[in-house]
Amino acid sequence: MPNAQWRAFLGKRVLALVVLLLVISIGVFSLIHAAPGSAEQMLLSGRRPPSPERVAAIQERYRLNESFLNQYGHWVTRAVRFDFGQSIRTGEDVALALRERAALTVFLGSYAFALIMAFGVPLGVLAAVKRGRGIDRATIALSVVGVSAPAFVTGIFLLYVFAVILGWFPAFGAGEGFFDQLRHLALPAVALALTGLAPIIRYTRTGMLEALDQDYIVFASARGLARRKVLFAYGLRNALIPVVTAGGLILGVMLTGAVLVEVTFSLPGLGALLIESVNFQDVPVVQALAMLTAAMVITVNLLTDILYLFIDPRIRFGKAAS
Amino acid sequence: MSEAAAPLGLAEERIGSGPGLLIGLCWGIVIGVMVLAAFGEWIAPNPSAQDLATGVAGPSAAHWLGTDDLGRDVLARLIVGARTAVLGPVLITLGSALIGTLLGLLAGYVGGLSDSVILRWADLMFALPGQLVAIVVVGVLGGGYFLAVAILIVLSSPYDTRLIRAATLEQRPRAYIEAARVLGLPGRRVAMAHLLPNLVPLIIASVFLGFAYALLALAALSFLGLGVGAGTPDWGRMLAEGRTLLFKNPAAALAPGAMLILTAASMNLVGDWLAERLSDRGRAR
Amino acid sequence: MRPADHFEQHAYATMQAQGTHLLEVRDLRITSRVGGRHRTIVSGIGLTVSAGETVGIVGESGSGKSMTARALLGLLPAGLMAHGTVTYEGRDLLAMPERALRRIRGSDIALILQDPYTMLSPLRRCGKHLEETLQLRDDGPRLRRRSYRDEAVRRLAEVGITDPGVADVYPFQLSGGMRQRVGIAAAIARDPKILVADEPTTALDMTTQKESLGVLKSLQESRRMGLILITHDLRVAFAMCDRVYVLYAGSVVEVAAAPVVEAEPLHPYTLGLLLSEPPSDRRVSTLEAIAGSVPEPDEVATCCPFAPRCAWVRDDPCRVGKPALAEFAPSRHTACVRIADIRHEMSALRSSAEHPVPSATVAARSRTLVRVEGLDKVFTAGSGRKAGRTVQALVGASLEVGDGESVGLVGESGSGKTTLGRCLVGLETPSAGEITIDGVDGSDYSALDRNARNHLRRTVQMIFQDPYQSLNPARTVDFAITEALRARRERADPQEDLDALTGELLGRVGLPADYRARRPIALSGGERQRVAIARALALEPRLLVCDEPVSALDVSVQAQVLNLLNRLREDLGIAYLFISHDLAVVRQVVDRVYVLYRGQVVESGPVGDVLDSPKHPYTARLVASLPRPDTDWLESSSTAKRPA
Repeated sequence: MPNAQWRAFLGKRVLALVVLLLVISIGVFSLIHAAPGSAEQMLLSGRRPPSPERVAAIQERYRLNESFLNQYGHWVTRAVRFDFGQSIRTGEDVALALRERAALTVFLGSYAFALIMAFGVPLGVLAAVKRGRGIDRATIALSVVGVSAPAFVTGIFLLYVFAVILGWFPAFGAGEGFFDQLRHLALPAVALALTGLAPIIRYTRTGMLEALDQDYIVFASARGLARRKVLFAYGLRNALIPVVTAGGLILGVMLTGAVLVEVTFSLPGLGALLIESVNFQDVPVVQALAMLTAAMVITVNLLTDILYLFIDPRIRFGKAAS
Repeated sequence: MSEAAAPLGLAEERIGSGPGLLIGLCWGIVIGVMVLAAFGEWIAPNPSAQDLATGVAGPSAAHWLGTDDLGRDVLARLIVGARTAVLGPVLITLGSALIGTLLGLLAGYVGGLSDSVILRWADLMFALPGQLVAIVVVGVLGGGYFLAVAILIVLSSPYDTRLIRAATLEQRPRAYIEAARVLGLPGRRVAMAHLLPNLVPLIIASVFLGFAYALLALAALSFLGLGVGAGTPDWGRMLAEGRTLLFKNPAAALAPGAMLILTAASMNLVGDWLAERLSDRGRAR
Repeated sequence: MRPADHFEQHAYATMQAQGTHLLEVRDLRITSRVGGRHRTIVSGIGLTVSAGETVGIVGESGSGKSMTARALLGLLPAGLMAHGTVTYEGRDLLAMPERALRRIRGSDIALILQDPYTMLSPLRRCGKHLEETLQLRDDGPRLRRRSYRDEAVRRLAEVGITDPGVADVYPFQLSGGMRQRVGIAAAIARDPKILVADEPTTALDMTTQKESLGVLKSLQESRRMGLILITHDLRVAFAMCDRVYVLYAGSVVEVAAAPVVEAEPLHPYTLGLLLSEPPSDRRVSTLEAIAGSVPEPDEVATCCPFAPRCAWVRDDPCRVGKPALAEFAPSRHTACVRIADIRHEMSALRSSAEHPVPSATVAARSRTLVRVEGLDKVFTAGSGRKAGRTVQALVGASLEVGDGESVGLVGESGSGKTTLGRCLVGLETPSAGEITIDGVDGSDYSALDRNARNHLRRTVQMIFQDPYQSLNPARTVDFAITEALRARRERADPQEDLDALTGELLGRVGLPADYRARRPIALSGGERQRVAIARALALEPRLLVCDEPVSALDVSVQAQVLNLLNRLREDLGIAYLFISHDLAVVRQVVDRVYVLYRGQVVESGPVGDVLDSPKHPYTARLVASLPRPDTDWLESSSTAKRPA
């Protein structure tokens, strides 16, 4: 793809990303008005009784006396500098609170994602190659359980079996240092990975079965190419395209889906923060979290699209398959 | 068939001793849960009776699944909890399928401006992390079961819309649709008498698969304390309350968890089986 | 350099014994297992190929010819099993372990598949397909990477691709004909002794088909390869092959040298196939169609497979057992057990059927029913903001159809012929130009009022190409036709009248009235196309636009439908706009013909004149590319010039 075309593509996609974020930010901002009661009451509910100075300060900060549009404009200009104000619950700076909690969630999400890719793709390939045999059925069964068992349920089962009965893994805590974290977060990561495993297995298996059914596979075998080459260079290479889409979506789900797992395992990550804040109607924190995750998910989607260009020449050359 | 509802091929692959046994079992679970949802209160009339003196206890002859920390019978709560587990998802899938079918047909068959608008809307919804949106919106608006149901209808309808739109676009250029247009039949008749009957299998399968998703999403909200009110017997809520009792009465958490997985897995398998069967029936050679 | 040296001795001995056969197939049976039950797909095929020989396997769909091709290389899809023996160099390929077979594939026996669009991996450059195959050659020193590329370019030149840049492009950037050539080059990169070509040109246009067959033939001759050509087209087989195996429902029914079969077929099926093939050089009054449709091989595995459709069938001996292929005359094998009794009847039928009727003289032109003038149609890829490349499908095309006249519209894919037909019925709206139908302006259906639009609908109806998609799979035949009848009448007729009319329409297209309750799944391709015709006739139109109505059908069924169309025209005086790529078919149905090339009408006139003495070089090329059942057809390739 020529350089200019490449830049144009990237420019267009980034612009779309910004527009999307703006649309979402309007919704997120509106949350302070969506909560029951007036915005002032809500924003002041943490301390009582509110002094007149506090009321004035809040009104000044959120421009509550001005029009909705002005309020939004003011809010969004602060938001791009990652200034979301103070937490109602703790009075702490929101950005600071997020930074403290983010490391654990990102670690957990990436851990689960790595597990999914490391097990999902090979299992999908294996199931497709051994179609209809025991290993295929077992893999399908696993993926049905995975798609039917949300992380907060499997989490409890894993806790019970591996922490309560067998005692192999710690039941609580996030651990310190990389390897300790790896051990402490193993059960939460597995619980999280099980949900994302199902679609990856399913996409890999379906893609692989579809690819293996194609004429180019027969033709490659008919030329005497080694079975491994036929399976990977022809089969998996073609099957990989839908898997990449699914992978992108799942990375997004892993980063956001940590919420339930963190609650299940009592881990102090972003997800736990979200639930605490939501239950406390701590809107500034909720707003910051919503914007952060939306930005993460949309960025991952963009990266997926870019990855596509590298693996599918048909898109690179702007021509649909015949 | 579009990717979203592409069957896993389980029915075809025949786990174990053929589709009969497994699918029969799944149907049994689905129907059983439906019966509990309808008549649960007759079977276990008093799910909230407390016995603070006993408190939490493991399974016994009097309480087959033990009691929770307020001394309430876990089994009774499990039976009555089927109500909220079924009612919400039924509303969600039917509502979402209705919206999705109408918008999908509109976008796919009529096309033009309506297609662009609907597609943009669906794209926006896809860009959002659905589970998070549900948590944030339900949480900030103050929670509640039917609020959660309404939000989940809105969140899942773009999936149905995209599915129906894709299927419509696939059928639209087929000669039988074009022949109906050349006969001079009005657009509405072509859509309703020709297009829709060929989409019905897809819609039915998607309702079953969507049910499993709705069941789990709703349970997740209840688990986080955002769905049903405190004290209501509900599987998600029971899971949250029983979580701390793992050492004393594991059944208090594991039983509702197992019910969720069993029901969702059965729905998924039945949906998959239906998708396979129904799409085979009318398919051209 | 094969490790199995001890085989060589044995192989040599066997070679002596079987003469010069490179490959010998004996009693090849292919079965599938569905739910524990064995179904027959191919029930006993024997064939031999020698070096430098071309043998043809001819059969319609469902004859098992593609599975036979794949069985020879041990590449049957999962669930299918091959029995019998396939002897190559003294070894039975069917008994060989996968590992040993892989050494044979590509280096000794190669395969080309039907669809050039799916044969190459879309994610691998064309050159890569060749290079990786070249690297597997075990003779001579291994080359450097660079040299493999050079060799790939050289091999592409051998199949007529002189642009070395083709090695660096992806398959989807090439046309179908080019892809097929790349496929051929990759298949023979290891210089195999035998090439199995499974319908190598079916997916290609006529002119491209001829070029590709020419490439195959010259490669086969220069390398003295054994070529097994699998095709549904007898004419192609006669033009390409030394010997022909006629396959029907999984069994070989006749074997003989190609010219011998052409001169005198010795099996009623072969005769039927020959007679239902529309001749390109003359018009016949009716094609001798074979009744019914091809059965499943499994249904006829224990009797003569052709018995259900044969005019000369007797319960005894035809249905008492499976007739074996027997040598009736020197080097002429037939599986017909009654051939001695019916041979003369068969030749009599052939000579009587071949009497030409003069192409309908163009009588004083009737009133013009449809006039198309200066039609343009531009398609834009994508929509809205994504609008990108535009394709001009029609460039100022004009034509006329008189009342009751049958007019042909011929051209290759991409010529715009289908677009023109769709414009006539309002499925597309032309970008410019005028369509006048029965005095009404039909250029833009959406701009018409209800009455005018209804009038056009009742004047022009359409038959579509794919019979498997033209009926709603969820609705019965009765629903389809009754709905069309209601569309015509608008007022609610009493149900009895509709029933009677439906029965009458079905009778008109040669279907029994009890087909009304059937759904499309229970109909064969030919029957579906008949229902589609009945549905169109329900509106009592004066013009039927037929868009390739027989191209998806087997030859024997195609003849039935063509006969039906001719009969309907006699009975109803209906006019046709018959769109087709097949000049021989067109000749049987139309009075006048328009030749479309890249959206423009390049030639028109009475069909006999245009086909016999084409004026435009493109028409000449089209006519020359029509397969003729003789070997000099391919040689004539260089004479036709390409239009600019």
